[in-house]
Amino acid sequence: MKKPIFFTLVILAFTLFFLPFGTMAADTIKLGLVTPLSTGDFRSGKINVQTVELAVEELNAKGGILGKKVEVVTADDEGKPAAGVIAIKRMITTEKVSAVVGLWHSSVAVAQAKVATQLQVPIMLHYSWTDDLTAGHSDYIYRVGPFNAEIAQLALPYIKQNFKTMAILYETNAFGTGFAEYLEKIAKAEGLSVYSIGYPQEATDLKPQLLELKAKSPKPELLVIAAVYEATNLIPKQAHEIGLAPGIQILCSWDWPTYPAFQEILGDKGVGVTYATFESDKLKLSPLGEKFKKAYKAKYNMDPPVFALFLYDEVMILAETMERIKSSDPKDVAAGLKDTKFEGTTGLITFERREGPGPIWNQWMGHQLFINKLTAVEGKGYKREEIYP
Amino acid sequence: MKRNEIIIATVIIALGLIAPWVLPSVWTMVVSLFCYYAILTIGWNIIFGYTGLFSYGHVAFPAIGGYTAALLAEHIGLSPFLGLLAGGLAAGFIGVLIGLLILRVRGFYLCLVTWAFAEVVNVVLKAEHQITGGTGGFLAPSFVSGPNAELVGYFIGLGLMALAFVVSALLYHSRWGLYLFAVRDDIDAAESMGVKTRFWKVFGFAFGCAWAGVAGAFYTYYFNLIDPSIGGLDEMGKVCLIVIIGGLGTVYGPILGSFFVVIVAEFLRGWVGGYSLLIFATIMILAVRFVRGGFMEIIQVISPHLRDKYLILIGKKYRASRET
Amino acid sequence: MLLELIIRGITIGLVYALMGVGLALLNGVMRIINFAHGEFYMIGGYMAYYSMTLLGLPFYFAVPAAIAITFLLGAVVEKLLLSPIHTQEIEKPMDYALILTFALLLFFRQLAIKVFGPFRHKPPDYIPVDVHILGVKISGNEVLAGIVSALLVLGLALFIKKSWRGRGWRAITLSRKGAKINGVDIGKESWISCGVACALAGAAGALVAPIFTLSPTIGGSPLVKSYEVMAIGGLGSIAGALVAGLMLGVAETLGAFYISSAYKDAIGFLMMAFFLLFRPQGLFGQK
Repeated sequence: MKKPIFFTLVILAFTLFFLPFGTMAADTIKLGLVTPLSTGDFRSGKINVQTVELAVEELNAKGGILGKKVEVVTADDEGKPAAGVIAIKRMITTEKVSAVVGLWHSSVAVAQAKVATQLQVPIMLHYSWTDDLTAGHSDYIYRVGPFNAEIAQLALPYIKQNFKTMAILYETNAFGTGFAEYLEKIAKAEGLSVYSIGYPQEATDLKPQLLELKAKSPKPELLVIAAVYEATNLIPKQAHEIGLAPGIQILCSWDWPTYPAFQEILGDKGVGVTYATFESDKLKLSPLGEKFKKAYKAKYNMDPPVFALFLYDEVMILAETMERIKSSDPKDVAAGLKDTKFEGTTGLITFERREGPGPIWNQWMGHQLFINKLTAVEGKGYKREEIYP
Repeated sequence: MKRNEIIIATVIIALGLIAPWVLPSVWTMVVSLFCYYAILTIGWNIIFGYTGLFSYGHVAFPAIGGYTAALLAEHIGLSPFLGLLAGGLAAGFIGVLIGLLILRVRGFYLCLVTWAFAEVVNVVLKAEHQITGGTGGFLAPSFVSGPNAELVGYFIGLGLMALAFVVSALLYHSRWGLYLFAVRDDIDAAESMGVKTRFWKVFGFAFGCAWAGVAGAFYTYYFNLIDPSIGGLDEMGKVCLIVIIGGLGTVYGPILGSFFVVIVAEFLRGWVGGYSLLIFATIMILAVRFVRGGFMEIIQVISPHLRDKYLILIGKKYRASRET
Repeated sequence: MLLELIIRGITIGLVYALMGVGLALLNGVMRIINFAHGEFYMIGGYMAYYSMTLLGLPFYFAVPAAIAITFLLGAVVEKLLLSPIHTQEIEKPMDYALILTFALLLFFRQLAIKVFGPFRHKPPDYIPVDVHILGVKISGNEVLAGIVSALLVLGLALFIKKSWRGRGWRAITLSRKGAKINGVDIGKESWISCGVACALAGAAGALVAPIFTLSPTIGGSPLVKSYEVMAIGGLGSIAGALVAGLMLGVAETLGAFYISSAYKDAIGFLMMAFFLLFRPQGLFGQK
């Protein structure tokens, strides 16, 4: 055999030799956190990491789960299906996690859900809204967060009550498209006139789209912004700049007006903006929720957005389930989750399974939708008031 | 094909065949991703390395191939194996059209035109979300159903990569390859020697694009999903990085480069979580700035003797002697 | 409505022009593809933000501060990383610059996520009053951005036309060898021109920061737009870039309104491809 080939073989052999063969499970219980950290929606990814870290700190302070320390394994999915799938597979096969939380982008989560089902490890979705995710009726996919069809249904009464014409400006990703299409369908069925306009999620100059709405006749009374990406805070701002607002009610989905950036960007123009959320001052957070909110605020100096509450619930549900079934084996945990009855941060969480096609499978249905209105600037945030229900 | 290449191809396939039983199962997935990048960059190597057309829109073609495959599977139930072919043909066909268009431009202009094309494809994929699923992606079936789907997909990827490697090696040593090199090295001289430069330019471009389409279709069936992120600007940067690190215009370049980039990136992801891209970029800057020749420089530092061997291995000397 | 669209197109177009001019300059002198150009835009914006919020500077100091910092950063990047291009150390300068600037793009973006944090920021409004032009309401920030952009572009054009240094740059653009023979110090001119190009990007970023707000990933779209402007205006042409920027801004705004807003980003690319294929010398170039 010639030398160059020998040389190549040596390199290959070396590389294979150094591949990690999995760390042996020590006396810890591992939770996987796969979330966008470097590209995609890395803002929310950061909040996810903070939330899980806080929750796990709390668990460990109480002595861990089943007397074992809890450890979080974090991975970046880069907002890409291939990277996300590899990340979750590493979690499951190499790190031997008991469950995975924090999945975010719907496109990535759909691919990841398939892997988790195949490898029989439970995943919990806290804010991936695509109906498809639970529509596959997998026993390993649980969702504490809401889904598109449910939310549109919950928001409709408020819209019907107050407005005749509405405009939906949505991102063309799984969340935006799914939500907008469903809302348009049910709103039209109720006799409202609806204009809907999509835009790519990375867009930052939305003025052409807003001008298009401004030129519409009859003028829309309500502007629903179905966005979680770049343009979230920019749309209300640009609506003011071109003179579409005030004069149109802006309904942001969802609670990004509570982020500190919103006040910095909109200033006093933010007053009057409404947003939909699952949490409100009138809704009594459970003691657990209050405690979490306080701890989060103390540690990170901002109010936790609502998905942080759901994510926190998920970690606590997992802990409770493992304690209840006295096992941290992923398969047992998945089976045990079915019987969850957990007093969560916003209400009693149980997972509902509805036979027949549809997304209601291992899905918590107890979300209450609130519409809040920002009434005045207050320090680095706003005073808000609940206007619905 | 040279003896070296036959042996290397055999070794890679042999290693690939035993890998699923030796490595933790996550690595079969990483190696599948490696196969995707290898096929994709073999295509780009044919376009830029062999034919000298600096295409900066190469990642549009896996998107075209992938969406073709996924849409055909969804709407007419085409089998995934034919889907690979369909993806390749669709990308090749578009490649011919774009190849004809870019006959008008050279160098930097060509780069910008192809980039514009890739971005337009991306915009269309996102805008026509009723058909393509927008940024949420479009679901596709796997190669076979059942618990072994992933393993079968892995072997198909390995086979496709080996095929692409063999084809590109055969092309490299063939008369056709010589035409392509002639177009790259001195187009006027080639023209005056009676080489149909316009034909070979389009051929080189479309052939590379067809491989990219196959890669995209493979990706789609393997991950059961395709989304527009596959055609992003950062992916194109990765393609350039892979080929240039591995060795531009060589037979082994894409394979070595993909191995290095995909595996290193994966190690980093395993170790440092959210910092992986930052560290990756830092390594890249330092490596490109201070170890300019990529692998070759590193090998030279270790031993000049090995460097000569490496040069022979990647065929630089061989080509150089043939050119003079 | 048409009038409003055109006026809005012009304001955004002037900013595009500013981005494109920097790139045209860099492309002329260095002959490389710079993928990190948009990142200097992002850094310029953040620098203006931090000098206003942390140091409490008013905007007429903050924007120049941002320009100065991006100039220095651009010069340092050239000195440390891009200088091998003109010292002839490497075989393929184009490949080298391509990979290096791509790595820089990743590096700056990831660093920004870690250093500046992932959340959006916005500096206080530069001019917090609205202006009415022909009955169209435009924010003072946009007017300021438009006017300063136009002044910077014209200033640069004048500089290149009249000053010795500018003549040196033109000489390098025409022929690197010829310039060298005639005593132009290519190493020095390279880092200065790279710094100026980056400073222009930084200026654009700082000027539009209150309009589009800041996030670590905002560099992507200006990068694309500046290439479009450069290609439409003709590679290396300053006047071309100015008109091309305006054209692009107006065409995009009109196209998004009258044709389809989902295809807004495609308009620029189609224009770019059209010009490169059928009029490669750009708007004003001669064959």
